[in-house]
Amino acid sequence: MELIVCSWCRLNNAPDAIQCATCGAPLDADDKVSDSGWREAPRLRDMEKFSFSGSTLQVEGKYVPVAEIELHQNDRVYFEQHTMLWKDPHVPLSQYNLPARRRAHGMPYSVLTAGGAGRIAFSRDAPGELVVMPIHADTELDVREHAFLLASHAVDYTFQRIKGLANLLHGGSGMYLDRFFARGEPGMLMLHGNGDVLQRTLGSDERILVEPGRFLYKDASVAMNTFAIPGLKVGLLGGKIWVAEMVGPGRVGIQSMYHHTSSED
Amino acid sequence: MSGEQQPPAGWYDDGRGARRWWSGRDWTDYVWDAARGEQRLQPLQVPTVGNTTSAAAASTDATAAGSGSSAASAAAASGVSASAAAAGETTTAAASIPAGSYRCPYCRRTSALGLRGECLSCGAHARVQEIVSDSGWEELPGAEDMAHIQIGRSSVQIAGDYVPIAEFTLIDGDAVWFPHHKLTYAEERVQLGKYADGNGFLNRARAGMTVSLLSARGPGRIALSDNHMGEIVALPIDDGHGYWVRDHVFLAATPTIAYRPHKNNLWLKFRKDKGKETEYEVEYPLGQYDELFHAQAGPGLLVLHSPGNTMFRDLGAGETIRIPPQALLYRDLSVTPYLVAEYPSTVGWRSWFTTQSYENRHLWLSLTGPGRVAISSKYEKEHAHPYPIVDGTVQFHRW
Repeated sequence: MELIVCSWCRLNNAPDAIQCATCGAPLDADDKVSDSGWREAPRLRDMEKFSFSGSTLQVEGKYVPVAEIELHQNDRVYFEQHTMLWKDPHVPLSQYNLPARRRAHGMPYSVLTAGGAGRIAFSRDAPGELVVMPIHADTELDVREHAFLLASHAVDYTFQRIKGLANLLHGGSGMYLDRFFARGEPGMLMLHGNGDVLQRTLGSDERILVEPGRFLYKDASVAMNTFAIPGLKVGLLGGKIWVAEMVGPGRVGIQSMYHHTSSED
Repeated sequence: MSGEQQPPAGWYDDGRGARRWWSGRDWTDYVWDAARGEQRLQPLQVPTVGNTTSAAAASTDATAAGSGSSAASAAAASGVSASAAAAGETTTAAASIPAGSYRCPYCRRTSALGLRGECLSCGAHARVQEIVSDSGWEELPGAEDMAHIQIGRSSVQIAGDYVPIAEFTLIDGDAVWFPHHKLTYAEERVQLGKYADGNGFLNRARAGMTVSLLSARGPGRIALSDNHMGEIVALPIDDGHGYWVRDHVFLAATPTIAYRPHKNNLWLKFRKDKGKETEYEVEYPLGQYDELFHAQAGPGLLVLHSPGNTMFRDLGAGETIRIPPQALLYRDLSVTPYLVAEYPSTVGWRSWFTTQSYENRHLWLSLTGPGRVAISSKYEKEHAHPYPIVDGTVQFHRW
């Protein structure tokens, strides 16, 4: 009997498995890949469970799904404060030590850590889907601001302000790029993509232009540049249209809907 | 993941004396009626126990022939000789079917079916049986995930089902135009430019229309999506025909589709009493300008993003329906609209106030056939206006 390799996270599963034990992706459904090579992220089924470290995560709901975790006593997860939906009273919370000051929604940006043992649940506030991104040891994933729902303690977190990109409607006011890095041991990162999430793997020096509001994540190996569409001016004042130029090699994830969150330095 | 090979989509013997459309994954409800020379709907009925032997045999045949387990199970479910399906009877069977034999109830076009059993004119799945409420509203399924829509030699593929993306593959010289904020991604080789529709920036801004329109010219791929949960509705339009379309749902169109703002004559005048002063204000529940899309110099494709779910009905001549003005998604130009203010009856002392025409009223858009009207389940709700209606192109209906 051959092991089944999950096409999303590339890890092995038992021959009779119907969902990936590492990322929860259904193993009994065909991948949905458009002619151009964009692959839909695996849709986690309602009430589906998978494990990371010693903890268990269960997905609830379909339109604005909830991630509910039963934390092992040695495990911790961290998350943006406002994504917390409920928790057991005895689950301890502590502030995550951020690399710099940052504001969101006009309020101080706050990331909390929850430790086991106990249950805690998270959700964001827009329709979309949860995407599990296992972070392999010594790899980095860059994520759009306010898209990460939670990360396991094995993943380090930092962020960087990038200028000139937010989305087409909100102009070049810039946004934060959240960076997740696993040192030595693998970790788990869960994102909430607004609408549908699609991923494409760019070859070396392969380029694609992405509307900045739809950008969701990328491998650290993918360069992201601000790019003004040549010869194109719009509006009364003849403003330029800026898009994100993604240059491979590596994975790029996009979301079909944007949900703008105001972020400030 | 599964690396199974299944018989390609096509027409096959379903083992019950009918040629049935195999989508590539499942049997559909469409069979080929040789006598009438067209397709018809015949739901697949799963046989009850008792056919085990033939089903098992079919499964074995399918496996032996190299077809996948889904084909085998589908074949088993219908008692089909899947070996025949897998053996390549497809080509001749499919070739004998004239192209454009499927009449789609949603886009009203006759076209061929795609590999997934979808209508190649609008992307709605042929397997979907008509879902009609008792009152006559029919669900419009929209273009389904991974469906293809053919536009000449170019095409559109739909990706996603919450906030679906329309991914255009444009051949050299083909183009689409779209509001700039619907852009999702574009390949570098696609030529992006400003779309000139003959309406100036100020005119469009004053009318509340899309301010910036872009065009994309092939070769290459470009993807567009909106920002709400909903469905993509593709409307193929014949030369010389057109649709009225709600504000802000337009996703893309081919160059033969022209966008023409048209001054709207549906208006209301409110009286605002502010102390001793009285002011009057005019409001256009459907916007000051209609968005009309016409096919000129050839047929074209209009692609909409409908928020929520979409329903439609075909009104007969003189038949009338009332809907909230903002719920209308699109309509045939043969449908006549007008406004109705309806006042529920009241009793007691409140009646004097409420019958004085404000607060307790509902504003409707009345639509009279003949023609098709489509509504979406998500729309901006009207904020109850606290001022009485004193004039306008409106009928009053008091109970």
